[in-house]
Amino acid sequence: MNETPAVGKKTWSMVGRDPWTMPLEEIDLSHPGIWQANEFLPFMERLRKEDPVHYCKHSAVGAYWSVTKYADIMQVDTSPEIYSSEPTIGIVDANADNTFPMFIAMDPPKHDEQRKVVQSVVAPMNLKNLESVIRQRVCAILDRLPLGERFNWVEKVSIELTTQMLATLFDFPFEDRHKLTRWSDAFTAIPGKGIVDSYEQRQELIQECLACFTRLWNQRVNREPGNDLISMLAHGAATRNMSPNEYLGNVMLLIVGGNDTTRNSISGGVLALNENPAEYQKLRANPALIPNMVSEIVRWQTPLAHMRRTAKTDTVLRGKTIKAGDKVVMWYASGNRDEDAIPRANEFLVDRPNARQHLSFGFGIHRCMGNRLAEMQLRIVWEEIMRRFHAVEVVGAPKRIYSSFVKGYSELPVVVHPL
Amino acid sequence: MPNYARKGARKTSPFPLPGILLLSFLTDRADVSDMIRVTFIAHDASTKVIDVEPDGSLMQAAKSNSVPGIDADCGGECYCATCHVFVDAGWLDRVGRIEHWEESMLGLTPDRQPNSRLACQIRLGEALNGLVVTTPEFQY
Repeated sequence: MNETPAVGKKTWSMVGRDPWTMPLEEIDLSHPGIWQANEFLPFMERLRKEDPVHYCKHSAVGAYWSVTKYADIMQVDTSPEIYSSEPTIGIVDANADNTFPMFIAMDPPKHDEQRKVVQSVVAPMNLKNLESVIRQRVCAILDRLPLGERFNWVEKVSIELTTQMLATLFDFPFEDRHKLTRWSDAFTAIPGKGIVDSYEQRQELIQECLACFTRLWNQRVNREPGNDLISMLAHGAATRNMSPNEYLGNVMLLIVGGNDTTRNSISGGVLALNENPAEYQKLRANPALIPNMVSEIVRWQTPLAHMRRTAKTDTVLRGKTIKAGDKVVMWYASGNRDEDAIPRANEFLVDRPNARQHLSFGFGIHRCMGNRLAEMQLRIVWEEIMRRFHAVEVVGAPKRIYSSFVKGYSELPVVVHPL
Repeated sequence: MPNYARKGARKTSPFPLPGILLLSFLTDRADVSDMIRVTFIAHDASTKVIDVEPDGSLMQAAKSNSVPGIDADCGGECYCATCHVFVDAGWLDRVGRIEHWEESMLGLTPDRQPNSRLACQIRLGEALNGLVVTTPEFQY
């Protein structure tokens, strides 16, 4: 689940290189620098055109295949008997420090058993109950925003809302909820790049998280099962005998899954509408477009840029021979811009036909469990924004995350203008 | 490609006889010769009745007739579970078997029921004239 590059290996920087003239074999989409610098798109475009299943021999994370076309990504994602999620779905190879057992990194049948335990958190009854909670919180957050004054949208809206939601899903002590964000950020952070200073510090945070969640497990295992994720894990037949590491792994998965993704889609939507003023105007003229726009935002942002698989057997993909044991990376962020699958894929269109057909949630057995909750949060955010503000105006350059996995923002300076 | 059998759309028209001769006296069935009638009941009990050619999948029929509550995010290849329907009891034995991959995808829905199916895997044919299905409140 983390992005730590191997230390000490020689690598070259991708940042600032010309995507169309550099040697094809040197293109390395895993380089976090091109994601932070927002330079990744033309590299992906070139691979889609010239070498859609591309082998990168040398990178900080070792050799790997990049799968960049929509149809090929679909095929890899839906063939778990060939492309395994074990032992890790992270681009960094598994080692004892960075790998925790979690159901996203398991194949059937164990994956199916563990996932079923927690997916009832988004069952219809829970979703309906959550809708009013979300709306109440969105309103409170938006009503407190300073008017006509510059602030960081990521911090005041996106992080605040998704952190509150996480605390609710875990029934986590509400006043301590910011710890969840801290842990989530630490799980996916590259030490020394702003979020944590060192591997040791990240390890400490992970242990702190485990200790806290162990206390909550112990409280809830002896109580009547509640509707929260910890109770579900503590009482579920397929999860109640998990090892501490497996519990920690699944907690990490649920924290990251419910945190970064929605957070960065909330920020990404604001940015997309500012970069496409005609679309913002369409939305003002017809707020009924919001549900469709939410799907378009999730495609456009692609908050998780990739997922990794490992070939279980020798196989052929678009004419390339992939050997058993090879690392295969599906670049959702590329497939979502593939003109062969999505007409006008490089335009942000709030009224796009078939907007739901995107790769951001993945397909097949690992498809995002929280997709409907994420869409609900985004829909409510935009419904309430449109009721209050004529514009959420971006007034400065966004700061992007140093990661090829979590595609998102740490800063988005805005001014809100009331209706 | 994976080894799972995934049923695509298939044209089935074994009877050249005009269906109207056989079916027109049945009030709950389509009265245009080679069309069949399918009823979709939404979670709020609102109903949509469509008359369609008996070919392709139930999902395709729903999408091309703008039936609400069927998303079909993957485009109809059994790669997600967003065309989930509940098949009315009387029709369960006529909608075909659940294959391995469909079973896996149905496993993604927290509201899975014994009569759950993915509409993309139900192939329409004249035997399904009059089919009634219910759509869930949320597709996953």
